[in-house]
Amino acid sequence: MLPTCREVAEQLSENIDKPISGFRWFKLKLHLLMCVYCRRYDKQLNITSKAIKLSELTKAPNKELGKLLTSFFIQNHAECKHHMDNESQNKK
Amino acid sequence: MTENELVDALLSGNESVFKAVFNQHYSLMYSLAQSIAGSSIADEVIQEAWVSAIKALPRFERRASFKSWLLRIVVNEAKSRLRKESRQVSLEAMQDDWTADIRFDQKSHWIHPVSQWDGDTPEELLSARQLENCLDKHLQQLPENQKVALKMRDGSGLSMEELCNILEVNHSNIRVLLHRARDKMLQVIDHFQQTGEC
Repeated sequence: MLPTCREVAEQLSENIDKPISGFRWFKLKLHLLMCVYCRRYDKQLNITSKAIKLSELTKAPNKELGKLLTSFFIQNHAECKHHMDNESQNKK
Repeated sequence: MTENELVDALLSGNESVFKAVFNQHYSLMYSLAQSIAGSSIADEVIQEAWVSAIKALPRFERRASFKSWLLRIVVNEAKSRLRKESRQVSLEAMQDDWTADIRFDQKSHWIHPVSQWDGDTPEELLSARQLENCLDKHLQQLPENQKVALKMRDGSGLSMEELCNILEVNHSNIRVLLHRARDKMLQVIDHFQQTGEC
């Protein structure tokens, strides 16, 4: 039995993330061959997914936060090293 | 530089590697933090997440990728901050009624024809600046779990495995979240195409 339009709509999204294979793929393709609305939906879903990627802005790093965290990173590493040195001296 | 070399460099206190990693992941970390906790405290979330990550780095077991590990810390920190801010947060809050979708009849077939769009490519569609603003507005209004999943998958191109690791949900749940989010955004574009309004 072929999937319904609603099921096809769900499978088309699934297919973007992981291609559907085997008999499920065959039934999906058969439904798409017969249903112009689902073919349109397929096209629109792919356009939508790509539009999300295009509209996602890349945010420039916050320089102040970068400086602050770099200081913390250095300080934390120095403290860890100091702690480890002390431990190894105590063992000796 | 391989992942192992990168982690080793961080463990040895390499400042330039840390700066590079901070810059490389900032945008995605911001996007996640903003999606969950809002833009007003997104940088605070990133700061707390990095402090936790730096402290926990010696215990990083390298089972997941460093990026997944870092982003999971961001998600946890953002959720924790949101709880502290006494606002509701739940990755399981996906109760919008999918079964009552009025576009389908009782046999789950389309009731009305699926319309045709003017633009054939995302670039053509987004040439209408208003639509881009509209998409952004509606993306922010998606349920938190759908918004985070969509931004990470379609917006930033993370793999399904990475999403499962970061959000700690299984493949089926991610698939449902992504489909609902994409379908809602498709309806936003469709409405804009039909009416010219957001």
